Amino acid sequence: MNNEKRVVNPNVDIYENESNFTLFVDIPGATEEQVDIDVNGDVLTISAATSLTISETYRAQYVERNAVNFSRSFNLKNSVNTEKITAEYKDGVLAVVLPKKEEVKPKKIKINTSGNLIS
Amino acid sequence: MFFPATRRIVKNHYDLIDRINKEFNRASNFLGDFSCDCSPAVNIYSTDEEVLLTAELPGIDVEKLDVSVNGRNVTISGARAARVEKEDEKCLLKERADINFNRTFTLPFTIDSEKVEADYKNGILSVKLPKVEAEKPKSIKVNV
Repeated sequence: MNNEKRVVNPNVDIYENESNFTLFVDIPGATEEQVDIDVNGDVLTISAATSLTISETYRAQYVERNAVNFSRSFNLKNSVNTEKITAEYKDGVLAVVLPKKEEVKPKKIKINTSGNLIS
Repeated sequence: MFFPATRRIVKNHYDLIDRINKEFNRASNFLGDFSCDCSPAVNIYSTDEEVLLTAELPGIDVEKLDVSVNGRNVTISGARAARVEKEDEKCLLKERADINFNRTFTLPFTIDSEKVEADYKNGILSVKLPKVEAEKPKSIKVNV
């Protein structure tokens, strides 16, 4: 096998409410500094290059985990206020809150009872 | 040296099987609640005196993580509960499975249970498992 890091699509959960989209991304083993969130035009990219920091005195006996490049992109479809994106990283899970643009938020329309529109 | 029973992704075809499994898991998400009983990925390292075990466990409540040692065996277990959906939100995509795992490793020496150290950081559980004094290597001086 070559030494280049494998690119891994991290698992993601996406939730939506009236004002936000919220993303939860599993990126185990990344430190806070390794996590990158980029917005380029309408594309949000979450990436993290992880490393295995193990003291050299240890010999590897059995390996399932490798240092990987996590990377995943999302098309925001012009619905997110990219200036107000916030993110938090804890215990290997990145949470990103994407506030919706005002024009895509659902609006309640008040119904008048004056009858002016119909008559 | 160690032969854990499950999940040996060594060559490319194992990787492929893993990916097919993942796709099936993803498909079953649409059919209903899905809890993952699959094991977390683990690395095992050793020195002459101890073994270091690291496991990938993102987003687990430390309270629900459990490491137990019994003679030559070490068991790690834990769970990650699904997010409780709030009333005003809906789920658009769910790939992160609920984790519910229990994995046991048998080491080739008796573990000094008093000196085991466990640490959970950035979604990685690390457990240091030292040998009991009696089984540590000793150098014997040869008298001439």
